[in-house]
Amino acid sequence: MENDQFRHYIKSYRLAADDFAAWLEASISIRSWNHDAYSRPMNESGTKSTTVRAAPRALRRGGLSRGGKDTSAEKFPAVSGNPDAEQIHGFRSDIPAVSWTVDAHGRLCSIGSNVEQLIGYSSEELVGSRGVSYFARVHRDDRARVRKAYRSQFRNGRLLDMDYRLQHRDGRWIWLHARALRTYTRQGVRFADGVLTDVSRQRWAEKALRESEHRFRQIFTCSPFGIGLVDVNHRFIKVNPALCAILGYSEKELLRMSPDDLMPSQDARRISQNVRRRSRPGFTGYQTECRHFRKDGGVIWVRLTVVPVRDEEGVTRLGLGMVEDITQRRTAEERLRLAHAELEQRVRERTADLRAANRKLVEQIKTRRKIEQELRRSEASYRRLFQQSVHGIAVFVPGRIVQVNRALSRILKLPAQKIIGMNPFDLVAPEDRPRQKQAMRRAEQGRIINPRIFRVLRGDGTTAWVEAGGRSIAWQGQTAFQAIIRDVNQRKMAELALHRREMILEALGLAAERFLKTGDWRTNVPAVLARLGRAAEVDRAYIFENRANADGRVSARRRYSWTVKGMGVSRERPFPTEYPWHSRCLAPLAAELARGHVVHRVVRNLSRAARKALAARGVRALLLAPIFVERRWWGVFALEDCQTEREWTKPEIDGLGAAADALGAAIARQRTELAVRKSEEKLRIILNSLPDHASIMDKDLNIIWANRIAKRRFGGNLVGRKCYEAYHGGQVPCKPYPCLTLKAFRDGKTHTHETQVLDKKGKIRTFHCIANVVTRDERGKPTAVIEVSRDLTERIDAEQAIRAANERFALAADSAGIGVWELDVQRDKLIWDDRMFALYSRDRRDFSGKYEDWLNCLHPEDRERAITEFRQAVRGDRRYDTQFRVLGPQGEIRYIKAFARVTRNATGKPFRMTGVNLDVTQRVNAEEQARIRGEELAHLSRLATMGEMAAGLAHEINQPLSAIVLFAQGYLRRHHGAGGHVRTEARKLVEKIARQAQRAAAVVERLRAFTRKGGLHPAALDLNDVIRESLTFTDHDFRRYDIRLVLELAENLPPAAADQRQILQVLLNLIRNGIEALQAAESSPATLNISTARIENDRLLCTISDTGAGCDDHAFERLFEPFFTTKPDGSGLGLPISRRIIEAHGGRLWAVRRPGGGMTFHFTLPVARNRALK
Amino acid sequence: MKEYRIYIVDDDEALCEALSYLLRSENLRAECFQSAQQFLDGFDPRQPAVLILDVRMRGMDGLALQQRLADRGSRVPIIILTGHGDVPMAVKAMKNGAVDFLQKPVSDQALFKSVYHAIAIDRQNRESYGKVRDIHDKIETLTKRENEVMSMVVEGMPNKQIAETLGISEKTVEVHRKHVMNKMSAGSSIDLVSTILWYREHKQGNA
Repeated sequence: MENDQFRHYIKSYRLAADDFAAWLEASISIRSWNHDAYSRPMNESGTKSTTVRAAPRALRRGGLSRGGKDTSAEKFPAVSGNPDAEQIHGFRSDIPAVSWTVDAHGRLCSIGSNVEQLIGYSSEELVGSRGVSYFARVHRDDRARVRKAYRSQFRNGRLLDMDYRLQHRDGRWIWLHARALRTYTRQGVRFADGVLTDVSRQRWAEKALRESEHRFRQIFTCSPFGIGLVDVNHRFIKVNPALCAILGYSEKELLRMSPDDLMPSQDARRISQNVRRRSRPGFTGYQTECRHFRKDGGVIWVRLTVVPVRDEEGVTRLGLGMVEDITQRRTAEERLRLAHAELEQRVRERTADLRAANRKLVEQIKTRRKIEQELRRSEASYRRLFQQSVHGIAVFVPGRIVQVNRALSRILKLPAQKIIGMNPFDLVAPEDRPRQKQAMRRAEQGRIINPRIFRVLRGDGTTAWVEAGGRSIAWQGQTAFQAIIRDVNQRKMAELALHRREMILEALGLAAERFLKTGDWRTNVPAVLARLGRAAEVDRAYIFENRANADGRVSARRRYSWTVKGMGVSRERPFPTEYPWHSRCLAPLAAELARGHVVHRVVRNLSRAARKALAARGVRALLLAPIFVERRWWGVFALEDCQTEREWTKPEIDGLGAAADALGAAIARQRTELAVRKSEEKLRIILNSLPDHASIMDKDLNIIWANRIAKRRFGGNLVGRKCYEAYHGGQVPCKPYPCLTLKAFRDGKTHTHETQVLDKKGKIRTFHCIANVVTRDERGKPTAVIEVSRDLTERIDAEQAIRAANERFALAADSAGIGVWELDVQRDKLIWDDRMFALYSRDRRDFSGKYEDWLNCLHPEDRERAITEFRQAVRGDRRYDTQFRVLGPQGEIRYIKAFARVTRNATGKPFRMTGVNLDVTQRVNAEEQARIRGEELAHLSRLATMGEMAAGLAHEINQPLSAIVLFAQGYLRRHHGAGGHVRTEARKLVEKIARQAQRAAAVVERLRAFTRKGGLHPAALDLNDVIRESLTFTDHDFRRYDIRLVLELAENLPPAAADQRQILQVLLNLIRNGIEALQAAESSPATLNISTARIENDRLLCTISDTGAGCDDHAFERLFEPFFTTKPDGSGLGLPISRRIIEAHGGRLWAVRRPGGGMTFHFTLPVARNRALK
Repeated sequence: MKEYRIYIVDDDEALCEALSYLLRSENLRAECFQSAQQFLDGFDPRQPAVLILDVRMRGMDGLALQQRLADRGSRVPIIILTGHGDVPMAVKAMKNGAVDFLQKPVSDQALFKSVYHAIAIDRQNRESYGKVRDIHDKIETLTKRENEVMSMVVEGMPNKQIAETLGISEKTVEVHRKHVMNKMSAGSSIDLVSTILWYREHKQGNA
């Protein structure tokens, strides 16, 4: 059976090749044929009587009308037999001619009896008023023309000669040629005689040729084989798309090429030689296996069939090359060639017969024969192609399928017999019908229908996707449509799956983009839901968010929903508002979801309760994807299908899962962003609150943010400017390069430094700068860096000032021996510095840091007072400025002077007391000594005063005594001679007076000598030292009366020979006089000037001058007079005593009035001669 | 002796009176002054006199007055009178050229002895002073050239050398020399030289 089929195939192929050649020849010579005229059932009975129908019948016998049979033996009887001789005979011998006569009115007066053979009506029927109107049978389109032609021949004598269509009695249309032979008048009536011949065959053949060419061009174009027509010069002159597709070249490219270019040269040579060798008459083709090159460089094995195309004379004019799959055709070729040879032989014989038979035929018939021949071959090959095509082919007239091939039958899973007669649109799936009908209407207007894909209903009740295209053709005189139908069901299903997958992917992409790239995920949810819903082709899509109920059980509440159009909310289909996960029916689902699994269910398979709940809403299948936000189950993404119990596909499951993940990420991101924004806001507030200057720079050092301080300091429009330009006015990044910020950008670390900048006033300002990375990109590279600069100038200045002050204080405290202490009043915590321990002769280890410790160190007699003073100070009653004694461990006593300050808090409560202790033991002792010395000095002074009083008294008494003595002596000399020889009473008396006076003088002298007792104890002494010592006694007065002391003491003074105490007394007298004078004068500035100098060689001069009021002439004259004084409580002895002391030392003391007021006292002292005295 | 005046400067009126009373008893002409300034106002240095000075006085004291007189070039002899006999003061007064130093109450013998001693000294001083004055007047009459020539003669230069030094002829020197001798009333060159040398020795303090 298989072999039979194969043989049949080969034959068909051979025929096809043959017919193609013929057809091509025909197309070149523009000839036509009509197969419709043959294939159409004619007169089944009249095979012999009408030779016209013989050939079609023969064709029909082996042709389409018997297409149901598939044995090759029966299939080609027309070819294998020889019916043509008979036909041709008929043509020649019996050319039909029917004579007719019409009158001027166009009435058929008579017609030959053989008209019945022509049109099926007898002459009797046609002639006569009650019969069939001849002209009524004329084709509607031709009728007017015919009438006109008939009439016009009577008017202008132009004899009728025309073709027109007329309907045969059996309904078919035939072409008639009517020719008038003459017109004449008889009995006043004009008549015309003529003959009528059947020219249908010729007319139909012409038409058929056109249609055939059309169809075969289509087949050529649609052929699965590559076909190329090559001229004698080995150039393609025609190629079909299949060849182009096989070789990969475009048609244009191929037309410029030779077939030799497409194969290896040895193959080309071999083929060429073979073709040439065989190119004798009768060679009809050459097949070989050879390689071909594709344009893309690929090599394919093809079976090449080279077929010569000859003209009538058998001269090869063209070559036809067919390229096909070699494996399928390998064996076929051999047999084909054999069959071909056989067939050739027969054809040749037949042709010869035909030629012989037709020799006598008129040109017209010759043409017809040729047409017929072509027609037959084409017909046969077409039928084979039609049947063997892998694609379904159907021919249908409006509303009825008239022809289908086996392939279509396979596609539709319907036997061909059932298909034929059906309305083609009944086969189209209802949803695609309108579109296909519309396309059909276009086809009726003659347009080609490009291949289109739609669904068809198959015999087994399923639908399948097909691709169909085609165009209208003529079919037995009416418009028919030929469609080529390809089974694309699998492809289409795959495409649809792919499409859905793409849709889901796209929806997913949208979800990812909207959720992850844009701000608030919530604004994008509706769009994403809709897209996902549409992509998955579900009815509803929801997002549920888990919420804990008051009782702690978790339910999911609906937050967003989408429904497909027409699936609105209704009583029957309410929206779900809640998934109570805790409920028994949903708990298993919840558990699965909580584990992160996507759950997909057909409702029918769920537990009864769940089924009931879901079915109430019309849900038939559902898909739930859990949404996790930061690893916590946040909610679900749900899809519901209310149409079918669908099995969810992997793309859908994965897609929804991914969408849920994206949503989870978006929610998480938004949460994070919210948190980040909050923290950013916080940071911004912090940065703005900083007293420092802070700014954020991008990689190119553009300022992208600056805080308030920076803006205040450098102006508001900082953002967008370069930092070095905005802050330093520079054109390039700051030195040292790279700056902090750039360093941070480079290594991503924190950098600090301190820099000093001259400000506008020229002051050096110190900045502490810190740069740190603010943001990084996904690779961790810094994208923004913040630099914070703190102006440390004030702080550093203050620190330096404090340090300097501390150092000064420490130096002062240290050098002055000041101890510092601090007491935390509230906590009774006393802190001593090292000096304090030294002052109190205590060891740090024995000190517990309590107030009591300090008290215990005090002299018992001072303790009570110290406590009182301390409390008063803490209360704020009085300053703490006191002195007390400290009892050392060995019983030694130290005098301590103490000051303190109390620090209070805002409410005035004391919390700290800071104070200093100063050892004044030495000062106290010195004061004691000074006091003792002062007392001694006063004593001496008193003695000196007494002495001076005595001396003054002596002087005053001595004067009168001297006068008495002198008077007495003068009297004695004058009155009693120098010899004193007269001894009279008077003389004795005067002598006694003189003697008593001298005695008194002696007493005075003795008294004076007594007061000078002790006398001078001169020693070598430094006058300057004595002056300094004297100042220690008067220091208090200088301060008290705010008198400025100017000392101009000469250096390197030689020692003076003097009694230190006496000189000290003189100095104290003179200095006190000066102070009192200044105090009385209240002059300003009150200055006391003391200077020393060496004058002459052996004298020292001391000058003490004041800027006081001085004195008048009278007082100045008596300045040194004893007992003379201008002061109320003065003794009037200070200056006389001083002068006496100086004079006793061999010096002088005198006074000078200063020109501007005030007095100057000078005194001199001799320089000590004997250095040994020192 | 009669031409001498004895000036007493003491602020103690009674003592002044007592002193003058005693001095007049020896026919000496005593005059009293109550203060140093009073004395200075009426003092004539040409009048031969002796000054008795009390050291301690109001206003200018004795030593200051002594100094003032010395400054004026007075060579009046001074006797210092002191109440207490302070040794340093006495020493100083003597150094300053006091003739004597007396302590109160003074005895009449010591007083007169000192006064007479002072008069003697003053007389001697006045004599040499007249001679110096005489020579001085004579020198004043010399021309400038004659003075130069005289100086060279006193130096012991011969006429020839004098002529060379002055750039004049010996003859002219002879003439000048003769004029000098005449004007100076000198009998010989030796006489001239001794006169001039004596003059030079004594003119100090007297001029």
